[in-house]
Amino acid sequence: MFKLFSFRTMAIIKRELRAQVMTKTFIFTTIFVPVILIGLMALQTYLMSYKGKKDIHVDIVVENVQLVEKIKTEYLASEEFNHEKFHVNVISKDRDDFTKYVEKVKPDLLDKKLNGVFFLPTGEQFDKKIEYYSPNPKNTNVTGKIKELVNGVLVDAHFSDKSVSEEDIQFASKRIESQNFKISEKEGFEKDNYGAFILAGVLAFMLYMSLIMIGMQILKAVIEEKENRVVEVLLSSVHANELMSAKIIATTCAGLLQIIIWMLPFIFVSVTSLFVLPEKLQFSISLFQIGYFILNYGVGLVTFLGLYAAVGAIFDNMSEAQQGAMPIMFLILVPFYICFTLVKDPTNTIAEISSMVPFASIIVMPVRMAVIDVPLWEVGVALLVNFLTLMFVFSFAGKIYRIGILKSGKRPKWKEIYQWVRN
Amino acid sequence: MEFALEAKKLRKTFGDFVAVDDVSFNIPEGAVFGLLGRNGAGKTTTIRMLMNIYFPDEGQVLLRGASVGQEFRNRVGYLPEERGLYKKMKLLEVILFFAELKGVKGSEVKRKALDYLKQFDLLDRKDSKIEDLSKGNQQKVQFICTIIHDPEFIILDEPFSGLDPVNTNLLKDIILDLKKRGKVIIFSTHLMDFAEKMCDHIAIIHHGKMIKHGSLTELKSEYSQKNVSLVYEGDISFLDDNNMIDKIENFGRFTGISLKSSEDVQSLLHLLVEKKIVVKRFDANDISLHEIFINLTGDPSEPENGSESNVNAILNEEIANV
Repeated sequence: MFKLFSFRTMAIIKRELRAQVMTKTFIFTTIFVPVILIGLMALQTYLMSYKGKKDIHVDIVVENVQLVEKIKTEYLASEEFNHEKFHVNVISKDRDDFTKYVEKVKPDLLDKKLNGVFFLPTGEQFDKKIEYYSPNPKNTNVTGKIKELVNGVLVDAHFSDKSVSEEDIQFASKRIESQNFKISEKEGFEKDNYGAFILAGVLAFMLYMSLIMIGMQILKAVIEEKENRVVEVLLSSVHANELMSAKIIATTCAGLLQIIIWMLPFIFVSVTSLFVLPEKLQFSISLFQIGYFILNYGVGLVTFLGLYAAVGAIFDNMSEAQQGAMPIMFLILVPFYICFTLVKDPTNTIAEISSMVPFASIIVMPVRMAVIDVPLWEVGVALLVNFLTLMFVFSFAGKIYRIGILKSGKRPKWKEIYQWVRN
Repeated sequence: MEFALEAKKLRKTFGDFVAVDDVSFNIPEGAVFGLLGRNGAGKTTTIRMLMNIYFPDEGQVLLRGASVGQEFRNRVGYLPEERGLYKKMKLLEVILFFAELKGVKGSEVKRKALDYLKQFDLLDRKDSKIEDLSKGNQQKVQFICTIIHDPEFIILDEPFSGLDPVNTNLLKDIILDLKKRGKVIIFSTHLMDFAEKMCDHIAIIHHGKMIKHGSLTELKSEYSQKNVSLVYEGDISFLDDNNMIDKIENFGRFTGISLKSSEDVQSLLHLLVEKKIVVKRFDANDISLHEIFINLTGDPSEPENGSESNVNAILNEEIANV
């Protein structure tokens, strides 16, 4: 019988930690991967909101001369426009003159000196119609802002000769602001926002990435020990199961260290008020959830590393082992994809069931917990399922590891591996 | 008599393949024991069972009368045939790691490690990575790792492979010193010269079965009675079809003659004199371990990889192709 914590396992854990943590790869992936991820997200946000450095010039031509001043005033009063970059010229012309005008400014439009010309064919009745003439009429950055500007002016003009108060006009021109509230078992209501989805996405991605990355790391370590025959010397000092457990514990510790470093920003946001996120991006995460994530991650990592170690012991070289590890990849990939279904409907049945199914639970449950309030009993079932899976994986992975690790040469057949497990 | 280590009816199968079958031997206290056999005979499997790396399907291994377990692992130093070191680790680090695995650490073991490195002329490389060392130097580091914790049992699988003559001598001296200090040393080898010079007890395994074991002196006296070592001048081809001869192994100047009966020794000498052969040496009670080994395990119908018969077969094929 082997002891899980003896001087032997401690020596192996210490060596493994030193070999895994004090490497450039570990430091790079732990510190730079989140930085790169955040950088990519920032780049995407920047690109989405990119307005261009060039000045924008648009003409607004109105049939109704009364609107000219109103639009000018509204434009100058509006905070939506950067008045140094966005130049609006308002003039009045009828339909025939407007056509001639467009012909006249066509060279400017084509030379991009002028971005576009809006035409408001508004007679006495203020129709809410606007025409836009431009070489690039799909530029929503321009059309969106002008439409909003003109809409306000038209509403104002429409009600100006009617006995309607200023407040009523403002009310009529105001758009509906939607605010969703999340109902949970907690007291009161929470304002809902995108924060939970972002948190869920980040969590799913981190779990997926680290399970695969750390899994590959242990696969490589096992194959290396097998290839350079160190394992034979090690087994003259320790029991095979001690060796496997010590390696997995060390790799799990390295993995936990990594995920804790990755979780630090979330822990800070959750327990301090130092960082204030924009309202739309705020998320609420309790210490119970953080605790579950870390425990679940630890259990999940040990389970998957057990599988990876067994596969590593079967094969002699990395390329064969990577092929052999494909079924494990599916066990990680499928739950990762199930997480995407949570975006459309966080309460869908597939996600609900898979969050309590062996292996899938490790990825799906924490992501579900980030999006909705999962009943406590379901969390309990998931935890129990994960622990039972861990025990099962360890018992049969241990048997495969113990025999496979000393085998070299011809690749064993699946029938042989089945016999190792049975014996 | 209580033995240091006893193997009793060991059997190990891998699927349908029987690797070791009914192997029993005893290793006395303070012995240098040679486990001999051809490639694939079952030596490594037997050693793995001794150390409890493999569990035998049948039989047991006893350490001073009690079943072996972790206690034996703590007291054994094992040098495998193929080097097993972490290539990215530094020399001193790797030695201290293997010592710690046996529960030995601290400044005392570090000092000892430095002493050994000095003895093996590796002190200036203590901070080099293993991968930067030559094969021979890696072998020396592996040996230091094997004995750093001062084990009672030392198992050496082909310890001299890859070493130059100077280092071979150095290693041999250290092994003899360990023997003087009462350590039990177990050699696994197919180099009969070394086994003959260093071992006092041997076991020969063939096709997974134990075919001979006991003290080397007893074994040699058992076989030497029918054997004659002859150094001569002249033509002895008349012996080829002589009835009293069982086998002749001609090494050129020296010939090993195996007789059918020990009573024929005098008749052979008489015949040689009669045929006017100049007898320079006639040793009637001598046989080398090499000869015993060949006699017991050399089956021409089953060529071993790299064996003489195999080389001959390849040569014959080459000649036929020309």
